[in-house]
Amino acid sequence: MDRPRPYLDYAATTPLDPRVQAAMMACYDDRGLAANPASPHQAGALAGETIDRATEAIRDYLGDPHWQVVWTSGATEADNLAILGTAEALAQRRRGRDRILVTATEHAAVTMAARAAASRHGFAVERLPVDAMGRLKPEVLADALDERVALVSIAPVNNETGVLQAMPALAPMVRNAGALLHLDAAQAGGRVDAAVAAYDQADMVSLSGHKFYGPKGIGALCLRPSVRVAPQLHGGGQQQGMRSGTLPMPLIAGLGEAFRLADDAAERDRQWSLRDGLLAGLAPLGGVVLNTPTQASPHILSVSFAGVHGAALRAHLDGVDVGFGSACSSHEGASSVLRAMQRPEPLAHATLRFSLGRFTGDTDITQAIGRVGETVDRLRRVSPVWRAFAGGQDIGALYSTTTPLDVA
Amino acid sequence: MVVALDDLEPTGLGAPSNAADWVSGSAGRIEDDCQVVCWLRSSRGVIRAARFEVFAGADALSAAEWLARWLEGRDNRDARAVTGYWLAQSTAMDAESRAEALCLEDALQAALAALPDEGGGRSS
Repeated sequence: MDRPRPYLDYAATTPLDPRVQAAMMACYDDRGLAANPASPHQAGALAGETIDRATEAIRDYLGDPHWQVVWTSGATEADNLAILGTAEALAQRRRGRDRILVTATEHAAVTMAARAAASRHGFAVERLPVDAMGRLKPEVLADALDERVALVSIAPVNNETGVLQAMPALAPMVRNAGALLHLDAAQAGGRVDAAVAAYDQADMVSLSGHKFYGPKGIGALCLRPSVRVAPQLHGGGQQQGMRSGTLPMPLIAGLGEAFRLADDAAERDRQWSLRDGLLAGLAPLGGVVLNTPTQASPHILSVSFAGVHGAALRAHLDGVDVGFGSACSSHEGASSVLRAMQRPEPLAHATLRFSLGRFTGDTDITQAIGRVGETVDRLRRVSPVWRAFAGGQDIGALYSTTTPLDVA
Repeated sequence: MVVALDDLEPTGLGAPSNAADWVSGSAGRIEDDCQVVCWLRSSRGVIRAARFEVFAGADALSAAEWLARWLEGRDNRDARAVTGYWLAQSTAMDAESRAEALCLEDALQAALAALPDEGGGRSS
C-alpha cells in the first residue's frame, strides 16, 4: 500500500492521539453510557471524577493548581467568553477601563470578539502592530498601556508563523498596568513550556482540543479565581453558571489526556530537527522568504516563494497537505497575519505554512521538500517575476516594499 | 482547468530558450497580481511561434497555453483581433479570472506592436 501523502497542517488540526482516543472510549460503560456528571447517582459521580481528573491535567500543564477551568466547545468559544465575558462584566460594574488591546496578528476568534465587545459594550479596540517577523515589541506594548486598558489579548504562539512572543517580558507589563491578560494558547497549548508562555502571569488562557491531538468540539477557558466573566451561554447553570450545557464527558476526558501527554523537551527537539531539515531542503530553491523567526514554536515554518503566483501554487501543489497564505482565491486577500507583517500581497499569497507534529517523520519532510520544490521550480520557469529576480533584481524593488525580508 | 506542468516546454509557456528572432511585449504588474510577457516569432506576416511568461493564476496559465497554440500559423491580423473577452470565453475562464485574460490580451498586443513588420523594433 502506498504511503499516505505527508500531512503538514498540524496547526489547522492534529490527528487524534490513540492514547487520547482510548481515554475517551473508556468513558463509555458496557451500556454505551457516558453519564451526565451533574446527575446525582453513581454513574454521574463517576463521570464527575473523570471531569476532575481532566481538570487536574489542565492545571498541571499550566503549572498552577488554582486555575478555574471552564469547558467550552473549543478555543474560539473560549476566546469569545474571555473577551466578551470580561467586557460585559466590566461594563456592568466598572467604567474606568474602556480599552482592549490585541496584537495585530491575532486569530479572528480574538479580533472579531474584540470588535463585538466594542459594538456591544462600548470598548475601544486597538491592534498592536508587530515587526516584520510578527513580534510584538515590548516598547509598542508599553506605549499602548495606560490606566484605561481593561484587557490585553496575545497569542503566545502565532497560528500562521509560529512566532513566539516574548511573554516573560510582555506579561509583567500588562499586570503592572492593572489590566487583565488573556492568552490565546490554541497553538502554544501542550507545545511550549508554561514558563515560556508565561501562563503564571496570565489571567485567562484559552485552550483547544483538536489543535493538540485531542478531539474536536472541546476546549477550555482557564481563569484565575479572581477574574469575573459574564456568561455568554445561558441555561442550566452548569460550571458555576459560567457556561451552561451538559458537560461532554468523553471529550473532556480526551482534552485532559491530550494535555497530560504535553510535549516534552525531547519531542520539541525532535520537531526542531525536522523543521530545520525542512528549511534546509527548501533553501536551495532560492528566493525563499522566511516568515518564521528563529524564536518560534518548533512546529511551524512559514515561507513565501518569490516569483511564484499564489493562486497557481495552490492549484498545482499536490501530494502534500500544507497550509496556504491566503484563502481559496487571491481575490479574497492575503492572510491578515502576513499583511500585518507588511508582506506585499503577491508575496503573501505565495506562502506555504508547514506545520508538523508528533506523528511527523523524516520521510514526510523529504517528500514535502520534493513536492514543493518541484512545483515551485516549474511555476518559476514560466514566471517573468522569477526571471527578474534570478537576473539580480532586488526583491524589495521587485515587490515594491521597504519591509526588510529575510531571504533564504 | 490546470496546466499539466510536466509538459511546460511544448505548451508555449516560459521564455524562449534563445530569444534571437523573437519580440516580446509585456503587460500587468506584480502589484496587480498579474504580469505577462508575450513572445512572438513572426515572418511574412505570419506568427511562427508564440510563448507566454505568466505570473498569474491557474486559469491564466491554461489560457496562455491555449493561446500560444492558437497563435501559431495565424496571420498577424488575426492575432490583432484577439481580445481578452474572446480568450476568456474560448477557454472557459472563471469570471474572477477575466482580468487576467485582459492582461494576456495586452501582452499579446504589445508584442504584436513590437514586430518589425508592424513598425516596431526588436524588444527582446
